[in-house]
Amino acid sequence: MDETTKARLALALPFTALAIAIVVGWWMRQGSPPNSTPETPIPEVNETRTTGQRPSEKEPGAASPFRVSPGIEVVTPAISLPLGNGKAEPIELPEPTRAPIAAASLESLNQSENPPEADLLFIQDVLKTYRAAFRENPFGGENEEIVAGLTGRNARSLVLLPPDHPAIDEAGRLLDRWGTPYHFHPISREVMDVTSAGPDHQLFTEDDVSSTMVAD
Amino acid sequence: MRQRDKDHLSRRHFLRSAACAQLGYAGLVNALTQMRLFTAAANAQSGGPGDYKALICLFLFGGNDSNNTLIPFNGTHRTRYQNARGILTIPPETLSRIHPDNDADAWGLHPSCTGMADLFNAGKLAVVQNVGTLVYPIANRTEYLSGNVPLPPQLFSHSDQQIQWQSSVPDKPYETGWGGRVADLVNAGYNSDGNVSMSISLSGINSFQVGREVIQYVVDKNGATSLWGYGPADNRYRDALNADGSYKNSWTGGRLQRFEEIMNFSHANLQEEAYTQVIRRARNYEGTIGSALTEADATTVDFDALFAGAQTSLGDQLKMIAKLIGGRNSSGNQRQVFFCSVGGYDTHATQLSSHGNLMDELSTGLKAFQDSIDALGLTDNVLLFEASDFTRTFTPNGSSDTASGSDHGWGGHKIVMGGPVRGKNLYGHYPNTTPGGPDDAGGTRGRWIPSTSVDQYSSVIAKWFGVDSNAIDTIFPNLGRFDSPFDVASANLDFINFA
Repeated sequence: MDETTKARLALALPFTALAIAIVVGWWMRQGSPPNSTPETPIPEVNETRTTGQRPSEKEPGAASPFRVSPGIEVVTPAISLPLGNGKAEPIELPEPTRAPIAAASLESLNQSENPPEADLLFIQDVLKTYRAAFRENPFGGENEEIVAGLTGRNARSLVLLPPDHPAIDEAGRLLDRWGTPYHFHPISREVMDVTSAGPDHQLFTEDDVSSTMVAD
Repeated sequence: MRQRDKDHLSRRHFLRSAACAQLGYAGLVNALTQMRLFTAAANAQSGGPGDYKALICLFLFGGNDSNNTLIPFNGTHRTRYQNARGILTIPPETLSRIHPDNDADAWGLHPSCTGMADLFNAGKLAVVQNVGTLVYPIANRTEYLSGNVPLPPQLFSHSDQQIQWQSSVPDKPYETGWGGRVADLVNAGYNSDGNVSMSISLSGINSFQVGREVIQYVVDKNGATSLWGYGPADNRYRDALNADGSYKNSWTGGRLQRFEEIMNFSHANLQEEAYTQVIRRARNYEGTIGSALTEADATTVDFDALFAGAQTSLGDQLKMIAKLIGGRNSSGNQRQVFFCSVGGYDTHATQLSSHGNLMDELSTGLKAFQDSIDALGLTDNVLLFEASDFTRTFTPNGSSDTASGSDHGWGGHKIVMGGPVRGKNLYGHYPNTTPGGPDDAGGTRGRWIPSTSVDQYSSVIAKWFGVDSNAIDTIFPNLGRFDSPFDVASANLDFINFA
């Protein structure tokens, strides 16, 4: 590096740093909520909603750990559970939005005209869509936890499966075509095996249908 | 338990946190450098040739069902166990009985764990109950469900929990393992005469031993893994040396000589230089490991006989570790960290039979290893601790005793073994094993909210290994969120005798 270049750099660096500081300062002001500081404690509960029930059965005012905003129709999972995304939960969850999954695909789940493998492929597609949005699998290890995440119990209230889908039972579990809850197996944040117990309703027997057996 | 801080994220908070994180990482590096100097100085004053310590991390991949490793024999815990475990219930009369000094209840280990029970009752093994990954303490099910306490990301996923156990920093992207950080800290102070890395793995590259300076060196059950082309199974360089180490006047001897001359060239290009350094280091380490094994063979300890009943994957790994400890003078290190592991613990199916086999492998391996260490006269110098992804659900996932198993749980019971351990005791706190009860993390499967964090458990072990109180928070940055395992008696984590 010659002397002229060094001199130019020496001149330019302080100005660049100053410009960055001004931009960052402006952005921080824009991002600061009015009349609040980052140290403001999070209220324990903003509003409560009954859990352990289907949306149609909810009883307003009953105790629940869920914190939702008044007036917003939030999809309530059938069981109570935390978001589990590694953070304390926000005071408000955003308004529910539907993920772009075709209605025809949703209706095809567990239909006898399709092979059982097609169901596994569909569920994997739904999980793939979830991962595209959140960069990780839904929180949990149990069927009802995974399904809660897919039906809107997530940081964006993104609904990938309608909670009233006929394949979801009263306990919030996704059932296979023989009426047995699918077995979800979280391998990593990007891999989730799904298994149907098959016609004998018994997991880990020869007639099981697993996502590891079907092409991705 | 301490209250955790609230985590409220605004843009300003994010920027502030990011800035602090940058400073934090820079600070961590500086702090480790400082701590290393202190450790080196302290060792220069107090450490001596007899001050040898080896730490072994045994990882049970897949999630050991520790609900069926430590099993209540009678009383309330037994009633809850029998009410909930279904086909996974193990009859009390079959248990390998243990008699903890500090617990009035009666306990047992899995029926296949007779060797471990012997070690327990002899005061060389202890169990730390309900340990798991935590970001902040969680008092009970209500607090878990409230969503107010951040949880470890991807709590029930295998690979995430394996990494979080090995890093002990669940709420940050993985960078290093706590074994690697400890090695970075103590290496300069204790291993100035070392001829091989202090971090040796019997189970491939792992997250636990990843540090910033000390590299992990992988060996297998037969010793050093030869560079491709050097090994006895390959004829490129086989039989290339004379007994005195000189090159044979043969085609292979000449080839080896030319190759090593090339590898000893210095290179101006950094990448080329680094490449040849790796080759040279691998060759040197291979020689050191060979010397250590020769040294071990020269001891009076008959490793083959001691491990005759443990000829398994785990037994083979522990046998090699015992030999390398026996040949420690060749390594020149006063501090060594070993890593070994076994897979197959993800017992969703056929658990009763498969877990029984795993417990047998575990028990026979640990017994043979401890007997070997005792025979080497190093009982008080070696400590082994166990880790696993998580324990498993208390309730089974089916009703077939031949097909069913259990699913992913959370807090589990951990084994610590060796002379430094205050054995014949149970530590931590056994959970209320009522499905859906106060210690169950949602649902009714029996996934225990840990009462002891990985940070608390690991920090006690790290302290024994030479991490002093000034450095412990640097190695375990989240430790301050939990009750001190050293000062708070109710934590019940006094499982090592530091004297």
